[in-house]
Amino acid sequence: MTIEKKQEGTTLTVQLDGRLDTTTAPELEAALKELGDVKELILDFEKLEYISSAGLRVVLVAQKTMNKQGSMKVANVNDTVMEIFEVTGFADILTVI
Amino acid sequence: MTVKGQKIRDLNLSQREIAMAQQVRPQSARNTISLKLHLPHCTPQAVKEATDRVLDSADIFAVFLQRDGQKWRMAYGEQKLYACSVGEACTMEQAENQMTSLDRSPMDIISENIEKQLYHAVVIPLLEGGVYLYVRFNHIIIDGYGMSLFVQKVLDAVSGKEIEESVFAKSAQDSEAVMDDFWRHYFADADFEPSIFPEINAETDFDSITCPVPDALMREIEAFSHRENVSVPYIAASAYAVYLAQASGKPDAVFLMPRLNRMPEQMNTLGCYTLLVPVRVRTADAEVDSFTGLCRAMERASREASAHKDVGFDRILSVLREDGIISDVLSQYVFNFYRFQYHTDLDYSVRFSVAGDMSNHMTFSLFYDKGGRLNMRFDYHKSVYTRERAIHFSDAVCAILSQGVQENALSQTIGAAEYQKVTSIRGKEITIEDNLTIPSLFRLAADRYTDRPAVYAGDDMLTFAELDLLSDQIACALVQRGVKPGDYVAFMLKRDIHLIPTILGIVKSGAAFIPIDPAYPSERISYIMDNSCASCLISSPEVSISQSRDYVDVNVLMQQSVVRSLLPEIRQQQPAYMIYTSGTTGRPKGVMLSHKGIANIVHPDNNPFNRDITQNCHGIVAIGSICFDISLFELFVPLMNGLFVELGSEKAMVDAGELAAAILRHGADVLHCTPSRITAYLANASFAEALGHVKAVLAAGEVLPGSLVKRLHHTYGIRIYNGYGPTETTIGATITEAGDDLSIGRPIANTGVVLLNGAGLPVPYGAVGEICVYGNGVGIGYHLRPEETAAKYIVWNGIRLYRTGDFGYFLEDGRLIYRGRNDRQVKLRGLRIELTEIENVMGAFPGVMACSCIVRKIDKTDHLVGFYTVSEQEPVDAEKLRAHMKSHLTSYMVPDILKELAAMPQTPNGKTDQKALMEEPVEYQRTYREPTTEREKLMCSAFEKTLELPQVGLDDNFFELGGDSLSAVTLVLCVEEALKPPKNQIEFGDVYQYPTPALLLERLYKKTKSDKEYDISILDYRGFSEYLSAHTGNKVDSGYLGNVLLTGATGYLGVHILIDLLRRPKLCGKIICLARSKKSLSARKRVNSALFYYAEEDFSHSYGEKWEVVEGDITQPDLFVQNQIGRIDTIINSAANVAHFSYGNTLEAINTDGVKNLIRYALRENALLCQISTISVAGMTEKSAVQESFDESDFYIGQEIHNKYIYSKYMAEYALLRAAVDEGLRVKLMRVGNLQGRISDGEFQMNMNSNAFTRQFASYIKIGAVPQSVYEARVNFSPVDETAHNIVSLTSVREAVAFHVYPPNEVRYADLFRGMERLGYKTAILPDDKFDALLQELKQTDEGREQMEGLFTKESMGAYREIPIRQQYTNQYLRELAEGWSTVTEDYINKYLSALDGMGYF
Repeated sequence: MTIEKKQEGTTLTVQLDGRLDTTTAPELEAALKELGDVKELILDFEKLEYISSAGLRVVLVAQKTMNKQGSMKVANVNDTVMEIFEVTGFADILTVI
Repeated sequence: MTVKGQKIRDLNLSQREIAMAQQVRPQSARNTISLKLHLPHCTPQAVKEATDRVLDSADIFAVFLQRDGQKWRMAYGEQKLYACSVGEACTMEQAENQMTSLDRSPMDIISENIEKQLYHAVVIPLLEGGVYLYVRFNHIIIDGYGMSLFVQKVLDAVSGKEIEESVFAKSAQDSEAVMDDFWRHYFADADFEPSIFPEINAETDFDSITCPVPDALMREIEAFSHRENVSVPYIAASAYAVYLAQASGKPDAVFLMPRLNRMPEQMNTLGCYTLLVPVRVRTADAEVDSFTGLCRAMERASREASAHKDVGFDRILSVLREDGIISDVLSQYVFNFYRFQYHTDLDYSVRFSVAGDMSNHMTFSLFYDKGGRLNMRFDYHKSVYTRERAIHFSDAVCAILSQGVQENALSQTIGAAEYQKVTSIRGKEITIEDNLTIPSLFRLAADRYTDRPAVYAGDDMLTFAELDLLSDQIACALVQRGVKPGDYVAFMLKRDIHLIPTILGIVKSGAAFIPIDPAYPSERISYIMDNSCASCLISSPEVSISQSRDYVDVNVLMQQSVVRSLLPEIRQQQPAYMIYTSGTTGRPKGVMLSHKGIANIVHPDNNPFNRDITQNCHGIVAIGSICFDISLFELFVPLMNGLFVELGSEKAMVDAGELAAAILRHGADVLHCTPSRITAYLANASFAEALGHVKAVLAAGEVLPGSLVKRLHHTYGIRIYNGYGPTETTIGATITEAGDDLSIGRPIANTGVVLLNGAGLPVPYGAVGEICVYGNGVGIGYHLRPEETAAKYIVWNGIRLYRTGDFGYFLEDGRLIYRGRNDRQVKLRGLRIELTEIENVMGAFPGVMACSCIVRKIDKTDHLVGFYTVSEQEPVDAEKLRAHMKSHLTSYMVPDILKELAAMPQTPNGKTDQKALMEEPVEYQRTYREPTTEREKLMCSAFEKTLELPQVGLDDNFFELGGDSLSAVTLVLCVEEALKPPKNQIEFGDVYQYPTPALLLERLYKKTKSDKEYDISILDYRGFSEYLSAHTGNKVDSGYLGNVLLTGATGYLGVHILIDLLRRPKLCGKIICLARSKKSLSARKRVNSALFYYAEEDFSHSYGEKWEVVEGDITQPDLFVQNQIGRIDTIINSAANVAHFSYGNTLEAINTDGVKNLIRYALRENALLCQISTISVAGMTEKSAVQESFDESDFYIGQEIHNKYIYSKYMAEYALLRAAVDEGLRVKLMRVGNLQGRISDGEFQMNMNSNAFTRQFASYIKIGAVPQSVYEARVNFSPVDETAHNIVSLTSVREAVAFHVYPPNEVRYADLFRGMERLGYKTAILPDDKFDALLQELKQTDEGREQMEGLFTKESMGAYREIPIRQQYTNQYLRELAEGWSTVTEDYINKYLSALDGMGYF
């Protein structure tokens, strides 16, 4: 999986490409460690193929962090990942655009 | 920017209406509109910055929605909620695809805690250069005009211009004036259809086509506009109206039009002000005799409507519903006109999409492009429109416009290509020589089949030669008596050997025959004789009624010697017969038919039925009354083609046994019979047996029930045909292919069908129109009734055709669907109902044989009543039938009363006797059940308030009392307000599923079922105990599983079974996973996704070879969508619905009926069926009962079951054991316990909330307290991966049937709570009574109820206790297999709890 970060002002866009699992989740976690003055975090899932339970937890951690300092949006979610969001109830917690 | 004024604002009327629509489907893409601005010479950064400036300039982009009780309100944030983003560069085509998919994605706009923005803007850099700006809005913040304004502002900003600040204020008028009377008056005597086309599929998608108006036409339109002083949008709207009215065959057209509602100073404000108004216009009227006239009427109609828009569209709808003017939808058609002119020097192009907003069938938008050219866009819903259909629509509008502005005329309905299509629907063309008549055709047959038997009647038989001779004798006798060509000769005979020679004799004499049934009343016989001026009546002394009048004795005629030269030449056009049908005036009318139609319809290649019987059959049993023309089909088709006719006696016409004897007497193998008659007779054993000899059945004249078709085909291998045709076009006009129970087929040879509207113009392909028949069969007319003849037989485009008065429409594949006569359409409580449609649904239910639906007045109120008969083999449960109908029909179309009849009453010609059904006793009790508890009273009053009714009882159905989709929203809000149920517990859809106050209360508060509901004591358990005890336990013999079919592979346990099988490849052959597809996700995608979620492996390297996913559904009798899997040796059924509470039959459908389907499959494949069951089947017992326990060899030990889910699993085990004992099915039952996190890493199931145990546990954590008794208790805890592994291992064991698959040691609650404490969640341990007191306190607040929600699902056990479960031998087997269970350690509990916590569960 590759992670690409783009920051514009206080908006940070993180693009994920590949599969988010136990191995790659820590990378994402690390990438999101220093959010500093980020007010808006956008996770772009357009190229995210699959997500595992470990991956899902990192997304939740990010949401919790952003709840304190701004907002987070998950963009371009494919149908496979969306079904998981729906079944797990994450669709209600996350802002999916 | 800073926001001025208040921070929170109520929605204006426009917005409220949009919000209302949104509440109906909160997660949908509905109510979103988008713009696509192409700027070929701009940089992404410039466009992003410009867009951000515009987003900054208007307060609406800082708006998010809040809920305040029932109301939605706008709240204003500090600044825009979301900045324009810049996407990745891509090609133009990729950008298009991306934008299209964005248009369709749902936009979730309201959330309790998060400020959700109501728009989305992205700049997509194009590899070709330039950018696309895509902006999508929720309609609540902007209207179509506002979107155009947004584009203008972006164009200005890109050019560096100043952007004016935009503050969204209230609408110009927001008074919600009372204008009910205006709208009542506006729609008084309206006669229109809300939609033209029936839905053709279940598509949820939409599409659009855009076409520029051709230059020449545009000039004509502008010239017309100038000359007649009407503006262009009214001209286009008029063409639209002409199409809608003509296509629906009604004088009026109704469509919806968004109207601008801005004050002059608001013309530069971004916001939503638009209001929707309906426009109704009469297109055919004394005043409207030209296109100009229509345009003026249109202008008037839309101005008037527009002036009264402030009342709000929803109010208009409810007024019209109240008055019974509409039932549900007012119109599926919208007309839009965009008049915005952009000012810019930039190179650009822009498109709008209202597709996300689209819930209607078709939206016609008219706009000017930047070159000033007029364009039309048609957005269409794919459930109703194919692309071809949409193009036809657009062609039609152009054709009507073109004729209107050029000729000022109104006679065009469809475009040229479609016209060509609808006027060329014809059967095969075959050559019928001019000289072929009934006599000449029969002579040919007699020469060819000389000594073959032609007719059997009772004990008599005639060969073809004998029949020829006898009929010649009769003909010569008639000629000698002065009968000449063109005369009419009536006959009234018994069904004996004289009948057929008489018919042939009459036509050979040159006369036309008139059949008279001896059972007719004397008065009718006299009328027919007088009216027809028949030369004579042929009868015989055996016919008693003939004794009172003059007649010629057929026995005397048959004495005549034959002089063939006496017989005249017969022309094909001369009358061959006249049949009297009941006339509208009450007097029968004679229909005159020529030889031409008969010569055509008897041709062996005329239709599929003829082709079948002339090639494959020997003879027919004729039981049709001779007074109906279908009897001529059963006589002439066989006789002209060398088959024999077994003339059924009068008794065989009404008696199944007699008919059976007639079939068997000489080996007839063709039968013509109405569906209701054949259905009634199937109950007779000898008839059913005789059917075994029949090869083909023609079942014309009524709706053909699907179950009858299937039954005849499956049980007897009979090919069944349906046909349609009025007497006036010679017996038949269309016939189906064998087995088609949906349509009435296609036109027969040399025959065409065109569907016309009331004005005699063809309706669009696929729309409902009057069936008009042309071709060889069209008759001569009505005897002595020139006016009626002229009205029904018309010359249309130079062709003579007959208007049948029946309605139908064409399917895409060209088959015709029958929609009945107009009189089958009734209005019930203001709702228009097509009875035929209801009957079609009813007839499709397995076991229903004949059915009929009528409207009956019961206690001064009209009710729909459905009658049906059932087959003996397959009894019908009325409630299941009702459920079936509910799932296929809108609720107001489901009969209030369903009554099973032993036999359907029939008229003499074998059709259902509707009059008798009106007399059939029925009972309907809308018993008022009074609400007693406080909650019941509140619920009933919420219903009363919503429906504006004085009294609603607990069992009254919301929809039967006039509720609809809009009032359902109101009901939800009222219920929320009155009852304050725990958050999110009531949803819009619940009203549909639980339509009475009692049901809705049950849904909300989950009352436990009464004790007696699931009576398992009455089942037949013979042989179970012996079967279940067959195990040794000492020596284990385990083997290879072979090819495995695994169901439920997307579920928690199922996916772990799959993983286990994949990790132990030597244990089995190929694994086929049966899974359902869901929305856009294929079955394979779903399984892959679940595999990755839990195992992070996709196993794709072995896909296809080791394993495969096949789409299918165990609730479907055929299981597989495509049946192409190889041999299956073992089935592991892990598919289940695990909801412990559910209304309706979903639990049963999956958990019990699904298993029954698998049993059938397993028996066929001789496969082992391993069922994943639950240990809960052990059930409960009264607390006082003697101590008993339930082990693997037990099934029914007197336990009781109080839960629908457990009952469904119990019944599955029952069905499996019954099949095992009775039919030798090989079965394994895996009764599992409380499935919990993986032993390897604690991972828990994806749908955490559906596990009753964890929900309960989470409640204690949320409350922060646990009762002492629970704290000290233990709980069954089965790690899912180990359970799956052990199930797979045990499945391979040859002996033993049932296993109790769970670890022998239970987990202490105390350990779980201690684990939680380590994670930082402290729980107080309270004495039970203190805990109960705490719960009482918590119940008082929303928050408290939410916390304790997991405890509601725990069943109240009252005087019952669970039966203790024992593992007699399962663990012994596992030890033998060197398998078993890990010990639950603190480490595992920690991992398990962290896994849950990491998902934010607590």
